[in-house]
Amino acid sequence: MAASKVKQDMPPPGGYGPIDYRRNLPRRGLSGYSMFGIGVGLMVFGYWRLFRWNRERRRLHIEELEARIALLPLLQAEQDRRTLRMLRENLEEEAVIMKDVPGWKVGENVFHTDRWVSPLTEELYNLRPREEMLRKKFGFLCKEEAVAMETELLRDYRFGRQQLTEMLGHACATAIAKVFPLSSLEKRQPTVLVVCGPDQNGCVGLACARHLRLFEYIPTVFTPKRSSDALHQDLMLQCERMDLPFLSYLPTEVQLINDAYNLVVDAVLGPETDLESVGEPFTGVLQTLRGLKAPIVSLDIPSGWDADESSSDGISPALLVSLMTPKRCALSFPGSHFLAGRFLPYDIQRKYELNLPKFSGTDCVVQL
Amino acid sequence: MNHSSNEKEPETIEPLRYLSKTEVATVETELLRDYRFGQQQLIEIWGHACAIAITKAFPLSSLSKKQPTLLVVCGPEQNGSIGLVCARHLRMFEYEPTIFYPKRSPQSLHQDFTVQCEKMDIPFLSYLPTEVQLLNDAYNLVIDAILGPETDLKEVKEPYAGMLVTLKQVKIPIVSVDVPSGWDVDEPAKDGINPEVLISLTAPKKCATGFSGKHFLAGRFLPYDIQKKYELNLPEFPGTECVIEL
Repeated sequence: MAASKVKQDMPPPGGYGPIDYRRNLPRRGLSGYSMFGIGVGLMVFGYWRLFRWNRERRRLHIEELEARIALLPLLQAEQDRRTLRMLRENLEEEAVIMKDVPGWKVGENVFHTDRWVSPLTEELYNLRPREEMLRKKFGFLCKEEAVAMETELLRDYRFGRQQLTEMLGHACATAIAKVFPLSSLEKRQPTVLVVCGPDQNGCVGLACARHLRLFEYIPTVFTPKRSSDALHQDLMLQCERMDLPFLSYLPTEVQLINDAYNLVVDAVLGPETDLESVGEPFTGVLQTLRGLKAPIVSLDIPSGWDADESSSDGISPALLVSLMTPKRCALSFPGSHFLAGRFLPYDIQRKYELNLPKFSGTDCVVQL
Repeated sequence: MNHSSNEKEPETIEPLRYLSKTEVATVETELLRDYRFGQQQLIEIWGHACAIAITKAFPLSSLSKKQPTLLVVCGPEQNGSIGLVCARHLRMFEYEPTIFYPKRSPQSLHQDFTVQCEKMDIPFLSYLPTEVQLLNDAYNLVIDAILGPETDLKEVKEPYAGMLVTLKQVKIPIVSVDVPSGWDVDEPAKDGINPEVLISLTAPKKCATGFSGKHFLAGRFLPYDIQKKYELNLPEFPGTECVIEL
């Protein structure tokens, strides 16, 4: 082998310098103790602020309570005056009624003691229309008040029937879309059967059907009886022009309805109908609805129920959508209960002492 | 790779159609006559949809002043009634609208809407201050419902001309209902008022093609027949909303 003149990589003359192979764990930043201390310090600061704010909240709460206490004599005085006035009126009425009864002492104390006994609600409202007593006891709207409120809206507040029907129909459709969204319907097509009576309840049902069509449901309308109401006829025409099919008769075979439709909207009878005057074809329709398995959505009150009392043998809907205010029959309603229609002027709410719940955001329906 | 023969072609999205003045009038007459919609019904639907659009564009939390005050300027005809209904719904949505309604319409329909607003405790101004700074300080935004697509621009006279001049100078945002007042329906105007938000009712008008601010389409009630007949190609509304941003 000849000596090669290849340049070879050799260590520098004198060898490599010393190599520092010690561990390099630079001590930088805060130490663990100080970080812990900072955390604890922040927490302590937070707690101090929290305790201060809680004390302030307690002071505010006490202020509210004191305001109520300050008002209490005034409110109690008004209530007392009202009670005494009603007792006086009852007394005078009693004198008139019982004037021919021998040996009757008007205003005689029914108790054996002399002390003041607060009168019961039944006693105070004894001679007044039943609605006032019911309103005092329960606060929900009874039939006469619902009718009175609607007349007032139409007359004094100059709302038009078209307006009210449109708003209520839209709100009902929104409630139905909330409770039975398109994705939750089991059948392939989102079919809905809407049964509309001839009165105002039916008009709201027709407006609701039209809006459901716009929300991509496939409603079918059934009107058992032709209506003479011009608004009803206009709404029916609008529904026809929206390509909603109209049934000419309701099959009495309940299974057919169960198979064809996902749910049934009941807009047959409203709170203004007189239950004694309900004849054919409604009784047949109600009979069929009673036997249905598909969920029923009732508008305002379940058809066939009395507006003031809950019924045990009427139809039993899965969802009740009350229009404007809940009616008395909804007190013991077991299913979902929505309130639709967010347009009542504050004056009417105050006058009828409605205490409606708050609607969230821009919704026009709220679940009760 | 096999493409199956019955693979669905993607649907071509037709462009949204903008209406001219005559078409707007025809659509409305047809709705009233053939479809038997009532005027009250239509105005209620439009006012409600406008109010929802305004809550979307200017939510309560985004208003800069302490009180959520708004000024609603209403003209005499249908556009003004829509403004009144919109103000009523905004009151229910917890805003505080104030209405300026200089010339009351003699029609009983519009008077009904006025009574409804009065009974909702919405204050009515008796005159519009010409001092623009007062308006800027008192209100968060102005809703312009003065003139609609049905008005003839040559007939615009006092007090509307003065109001339009004042509105041109305000700094707070303006929301126009259907057509910015003073603009011709068919062409965008150069020297008219300059709204920040435009809410088109039912279908957008031709003058909105050059509009640069936020554009909403409000009113989800048109029967499908009319939409097909006039080839409106309205966009899909999400869920149960009645307002969509274009």
